Amino acid sequence: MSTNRRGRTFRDYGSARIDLGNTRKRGTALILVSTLILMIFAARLVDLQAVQGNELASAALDQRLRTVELPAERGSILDSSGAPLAITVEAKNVTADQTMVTDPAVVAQALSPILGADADILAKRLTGDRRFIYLAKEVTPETWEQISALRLPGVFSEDTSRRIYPSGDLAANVIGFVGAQESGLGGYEYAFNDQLSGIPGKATFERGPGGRAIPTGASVRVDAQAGVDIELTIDRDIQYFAQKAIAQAVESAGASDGTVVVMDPQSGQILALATAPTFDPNYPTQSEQKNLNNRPLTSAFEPGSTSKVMTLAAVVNEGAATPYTPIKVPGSLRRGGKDFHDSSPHGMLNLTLNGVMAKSSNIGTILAAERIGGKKLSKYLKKFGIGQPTGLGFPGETSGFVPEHKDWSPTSFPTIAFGQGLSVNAVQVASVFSTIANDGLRVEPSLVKAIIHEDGSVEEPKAPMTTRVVSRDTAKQVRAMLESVIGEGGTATNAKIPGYRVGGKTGTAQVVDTRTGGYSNQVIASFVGMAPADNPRLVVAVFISQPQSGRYGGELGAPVFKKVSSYALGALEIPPTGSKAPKLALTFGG
Amino acid sequence: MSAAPQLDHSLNAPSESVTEYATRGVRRRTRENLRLVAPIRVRKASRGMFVIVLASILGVGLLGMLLINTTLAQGAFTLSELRSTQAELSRTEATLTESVAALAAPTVLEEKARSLGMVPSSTPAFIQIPSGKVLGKPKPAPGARIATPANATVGEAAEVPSDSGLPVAPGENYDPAAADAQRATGEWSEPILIDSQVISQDLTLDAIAVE
Repeated sequence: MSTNRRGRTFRDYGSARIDLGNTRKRGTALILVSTLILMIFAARLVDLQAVQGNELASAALDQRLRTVELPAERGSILDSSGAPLAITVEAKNVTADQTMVTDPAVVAQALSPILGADADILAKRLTGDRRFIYLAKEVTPETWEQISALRLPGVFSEDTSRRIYPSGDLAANVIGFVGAQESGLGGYEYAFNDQLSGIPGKATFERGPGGRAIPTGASVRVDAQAGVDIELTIDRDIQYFAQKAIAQAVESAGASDGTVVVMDPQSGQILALATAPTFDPNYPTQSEQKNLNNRPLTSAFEPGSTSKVMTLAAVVNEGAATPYTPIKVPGSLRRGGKDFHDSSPHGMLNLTLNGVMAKSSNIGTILAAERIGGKKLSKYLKKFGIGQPTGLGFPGETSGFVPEHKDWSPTSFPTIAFGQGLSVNAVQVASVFSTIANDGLRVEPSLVKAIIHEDGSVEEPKAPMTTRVVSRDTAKQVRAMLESVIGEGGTATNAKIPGYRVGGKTGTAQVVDTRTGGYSNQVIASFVGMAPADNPRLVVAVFISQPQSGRYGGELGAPVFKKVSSYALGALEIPPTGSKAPKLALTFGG
Repeated sequence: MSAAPQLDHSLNAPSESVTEYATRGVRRRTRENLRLVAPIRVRKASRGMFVIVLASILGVGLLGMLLINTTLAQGAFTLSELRSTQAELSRTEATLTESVAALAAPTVLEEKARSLGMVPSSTPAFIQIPSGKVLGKPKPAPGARIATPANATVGEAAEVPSDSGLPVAPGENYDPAAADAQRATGEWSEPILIDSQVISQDLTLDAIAVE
């Protein structure tokens, strides 16, 4: 029977009847179960779509969506001709997934010569369970290509960029340097950090399992805005020459440091701002902290005799004397209960005002200054920009210090008259001489020539402030006196440039001992000059701090001035004027 | 025992219903056969067409989708390929820019110039055009004399800059007779290039660097 029931016979249907009976119940059960399941499904569906819907949809999108930051390229710093002083280039960070490195020793051995790193240290960094570790930062793309060609398992790269200073220490004190993530830490890299950095963009796109963007997927892209380029007034070649000259002078004099400022007196533009010793911004950490500073702006010192230019210009401008005015200069002068002397002892001298300048007589300067008094002198110092910010906006810049006239002690007036008891920075002194060079009109110094935006538009900084300090005629007379300094009987005969008329002033300022508060035996030897003296196009200021061999501005500063000026005159194509220097008398027959 | 009648019942009862079903089944089949003869043919023909149309629409659609997707995928591939080319090219450009910048650095330029025997001028001077007047007081640049080749003539030797203003002697192998013969025949002797190796050996570079 049972066999029959399973056969394909008519009777088979009959036997199915038994199953049908069960099927009905089973059907009911099936319906119930499936209804239940469907209800569960429906409930889950409602849960997924309505209750958690938005959350899940965004989570899913998040899974596909990838947002990458588009880094903004840091702007360059250029010299006045557009030559790069600081640029950003592509670089790679070499990373590793330690779990994927099977044989750290072998991988380390292969990487060691390429990265120039010790194999043992690399092997240590390749051993462990960390999924991400840096092996080397900011290597060149070529280095990475070499590594990538080895197909080392577990060694990866990461895109990054690197700040390079192709000319090494050239103008490093002005440019500054950057730290991690290319953030400016010193100099203009720091001062202009926000503008140089630009604004990073971002790209959001849906990506497939392979990581490639899905072409039809949603994508948003906000382009990065590159940082601006900053064009400095620095002339790369003059800067290089000045830097080399001052470094040699500092070394041969055994000095602690030195500074050269080259300025265009007509525009106020600083063509070179050199200091030695300096640093290589490519490796700022390898340098001493003090060498990272921009000394010409950040260090203040007492100017000494170069300051006499201001005093005597004030005297001439007030009509209190002319270059020919005779001044009887005694060997010693008592003022405010103190005896003042000249650098070398002498008896009574019959000097003209011009002679006072040429011989750099302290006593003569005090006597001349007394013709106008302290109040007027104080006013002139301020007009010359002493004790005022230079306007360069340089980080860490010092304004120097001149005590207010009402605070002057009885010795203040005679001391300040010949350049002690007040402090200045190197650029301020260069600016004083630029004022005389520019016919008495002071043009605020500048270091930034232009700011170039990403779209190529050039933004020029606002025109520098100008102040009339002394009259054109006064400036001319002072320049004639400055020529006497270089002439026969002056203190800086070795500043002479054959064929050119040169004017300038020496300085040998005493340095304050910070421990005792009094003057130490150390000096700052300086020479500040201009050429051509009858139509100055160039002002060069040289300062050599604490020389061990040599002492006077004429012997240490003047040769550097001559070297730098000779080069700059040629480089800037400034021909000699062809006129003859006036011969002003230094003494008078008395 | 009670199981037997139940079994019987169960055996009997289905037999009736089987018949019923069978009859119903036969009846239905008969009805279909009767009614659907003509319409089936028509329907078969139109359904065939319909299927073909549908299939072709579907096919075209699918092919179209495939084509679009392939194109898009191809585009994505090309895009990523071009991107990597672009990245590579910009990398090359950056490398070149970097090396140009490094080579143009004043330090490097000075070194190169010195290795060619050049020295910086210490006195700026200008020639006024067209008068030819010399502005400034030029002096020969300080530095060692450059050696002249052994067979250089007086003229050729004089072309070589000299620091001292001393008369420049012809090379030791210079033969005046041969030069006279050349001059007589009008034969031009090629200027002799100075081997840069010779120059750098003869220059005392340190002496020039310090004034």
